[in-house]
Amino acid sequence: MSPLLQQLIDALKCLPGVGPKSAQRMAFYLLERDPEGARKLSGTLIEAVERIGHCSMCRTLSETEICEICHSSSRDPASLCVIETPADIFAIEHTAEFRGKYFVLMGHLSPLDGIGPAELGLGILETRLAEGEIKELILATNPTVEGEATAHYISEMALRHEILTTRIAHGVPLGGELEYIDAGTLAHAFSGRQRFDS
Amino acid sequence: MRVVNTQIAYILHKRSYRESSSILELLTKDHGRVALMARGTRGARSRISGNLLLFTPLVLSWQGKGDLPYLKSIERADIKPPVLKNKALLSAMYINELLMYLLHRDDEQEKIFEQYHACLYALEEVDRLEISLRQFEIKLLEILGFGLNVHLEADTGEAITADRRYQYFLEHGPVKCRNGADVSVPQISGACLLALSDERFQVIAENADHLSELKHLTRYVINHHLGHKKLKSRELFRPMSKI
Repeated sequence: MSPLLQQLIDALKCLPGVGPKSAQRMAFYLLERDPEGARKLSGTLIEAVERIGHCSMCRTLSETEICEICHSSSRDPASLCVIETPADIFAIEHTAEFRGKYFVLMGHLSPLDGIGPAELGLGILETRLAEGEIKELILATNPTVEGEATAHYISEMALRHEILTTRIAHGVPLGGELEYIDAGTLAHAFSGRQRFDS
Repeated sequence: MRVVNTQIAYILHKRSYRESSSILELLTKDHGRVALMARGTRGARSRISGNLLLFTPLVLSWQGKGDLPYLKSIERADIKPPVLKNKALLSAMYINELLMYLLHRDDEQEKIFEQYHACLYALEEVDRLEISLRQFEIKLLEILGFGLNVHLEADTGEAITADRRYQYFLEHGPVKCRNGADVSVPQISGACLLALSDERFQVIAENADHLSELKHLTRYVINHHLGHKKLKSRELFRPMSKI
């Protein structure tokens, strides 16, 4: 096999879920069927890697110093939603429910992996809380043990700055059936039940 | 091929491996610390991802040889898991880190499992967090063979006197405080040592000075046994500005 072809196959294996066999299939496809697509992919990849960094306000992936959402004047600067990954922004934006701004932790507290408050950029968040513009901090970290611990640490921080902190609700998914829901989620749904107004 | 069935255990740490697997670090009742490879643990379709919870008693089975056997099944144990919130969660993370560093694989220490289990449930009582942690640390050191010497004055073998102050020297024990004492060696009151000696933890819990002295003492001893390793979870108890 040509050395360059082998190099391409090895390079493709860096993608998640791509083993030697799939990498080989991708390489042949790009070279034989779609060289134009391959050219476009390589160009975009280089450009993206070089130009995309982190927003200095919310830490999400952005090609500008301050990302579009942080920069936008139509978003409510008083409400800040804390999430674990940039993918969570897409999920929340999809709901069209939230009009505030975000802060992306890029993970959660996990001391055994060497991730503490500093690694999550909580220094930047602290500075933003101190500025006084934020009135409500919405904690939307995942409902895992690590996500809860992270939410707690941040809520203590918000408390020192006297900022209202809220946590997203978790419980029974829409269209779900109680019978199949795990006990932990169901217990949570019960303790967080709301008044039913008819 | 070794097969272990329905073993009660806690997950101390899990880390992702490849696309959909995880490596689980566990504290098991009969086999001490065990690491397992668990397949199909991630992604929306995983049937077991909801059971891979920290601080929750689980029942699992595994098989295989070598250092990393495969997880066969995992489900929640039929007991109510401890309800840990806020600071208790951070404390439990600290305990996990402590165990991961101080406990070796396959040390078959059933007592440690019992202490861990008891400690998690003790952490439910938020106003007793400090003493629950200290109690766990002291028991852990004891079981690992690093137990504190709190019964007698180490230089002379005399009984501890409640109203005297002592300095605790590593691998030696309490020595009466003298003038110009080394400030890097923690000090502790005789009354606190006597309470420790008789395991009267309630007495310590009710006295803020005792609690603070004991915290310094256990931290000093644990740091010594950790060697160059630093506990990252200690950062969780400090505000951002002090990290």
